[in-house]
Amino acid sequence: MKHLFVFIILLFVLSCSSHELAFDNGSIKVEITEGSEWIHPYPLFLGIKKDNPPQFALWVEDLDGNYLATLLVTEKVGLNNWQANGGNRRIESLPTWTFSRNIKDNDGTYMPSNDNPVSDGITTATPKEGFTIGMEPISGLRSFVLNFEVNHSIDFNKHYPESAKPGDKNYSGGSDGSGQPALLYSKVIDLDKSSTWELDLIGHSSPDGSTNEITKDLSSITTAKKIIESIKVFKVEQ
Amino acid sequence: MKRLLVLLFLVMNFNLYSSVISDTSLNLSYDSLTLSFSKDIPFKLNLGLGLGCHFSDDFKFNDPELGLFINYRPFSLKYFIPVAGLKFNYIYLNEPTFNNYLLGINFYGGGEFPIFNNFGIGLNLGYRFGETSYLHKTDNRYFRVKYKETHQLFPLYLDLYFKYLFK
Repeated sequence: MKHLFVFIILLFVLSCSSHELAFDNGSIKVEITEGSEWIHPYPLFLGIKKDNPPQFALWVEDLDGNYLATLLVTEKVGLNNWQANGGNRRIESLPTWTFSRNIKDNDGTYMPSNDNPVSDGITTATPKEGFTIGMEPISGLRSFVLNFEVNHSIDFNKHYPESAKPGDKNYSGGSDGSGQPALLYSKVIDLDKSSTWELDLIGHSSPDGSTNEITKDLSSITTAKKIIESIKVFKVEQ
Repeated sequence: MKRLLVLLFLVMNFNLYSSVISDTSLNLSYDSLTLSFSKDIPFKLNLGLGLGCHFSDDFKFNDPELGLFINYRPFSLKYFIPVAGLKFNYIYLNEPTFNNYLLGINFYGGGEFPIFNNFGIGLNLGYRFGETSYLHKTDNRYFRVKYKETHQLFPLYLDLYFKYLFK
């Protein structure tokens, strides 16, 4: 019995080393750094608020803009795991990603659903802060477009008010909707021409999520520009 | 030699938890099932080992769990034995796209309610420290994607267990 407990204690001690992200030569490291608006207060009840991180998707397209693969998407969007949304499918959450992915659900939207979710392996609980993703090319793809779309719920400002009605140009899903629309960051990655990149903020998505139109004029966007500090990409060369 | 070996069985762990960091609701959830053995040692302490199965939030897969715990029972009443304890548990995440484990440190307190001579029911309220993190690995047609996901489990949980005492 004594030896058994010694063995168990040793097992715990020896298992304290943590698995960390390792980057092999030739792999791609994506560093997403949070901005000052990454966490957004979300009212619960009786004046109590919770810290709410944003929804996002990271995906790749070819140089002609054809969808190739989703690398990561928050599970509320990817698994239709919304809470307290009153049945709202939240089509305005990440419309550029959903239209690019182009998989229509039974209800006519392009949102993943409980019957047709995205793979568990590419969904994540929304992190409280910035994070890093590793990408190892396995098909010889050397150039592609890396896209990142991000959006907060109920992130209203004077240009996208809660009071906007369906059909209004600035309607963003109503009281449970987005407020300021999703922002799109993008960059052409050519692994043979460079080894570091930073994604550019290229516009905002459709406020009500009804189209895949990207608006380059960001004058109506205020705090949402501060959700992301930077998205940097590195080719790992050892 | 009395109370040489105590068999705690069917430790059902109900987690009062927020399943992911971005969730708002607190859930009372059936979480794991553990078979534990323990032995009385000096100073009113009781040292034990638990083997169990931890379930994911969505019950899609099972994760083996190993626990090491130490209980302190300062005194015994006829119908109630107060218990305070410390538990370390190790849960291996048995899912293809994960590559990690959870290592938890838990404090708990509660008590046992003897029913027959050698049978009782116990209830502990526990508090656990720390975040848990998973290393995801998944392939699509073009890339193998890896990322580390951190879950903040709600720290409070409730253990219900049934105890059989070998005399």
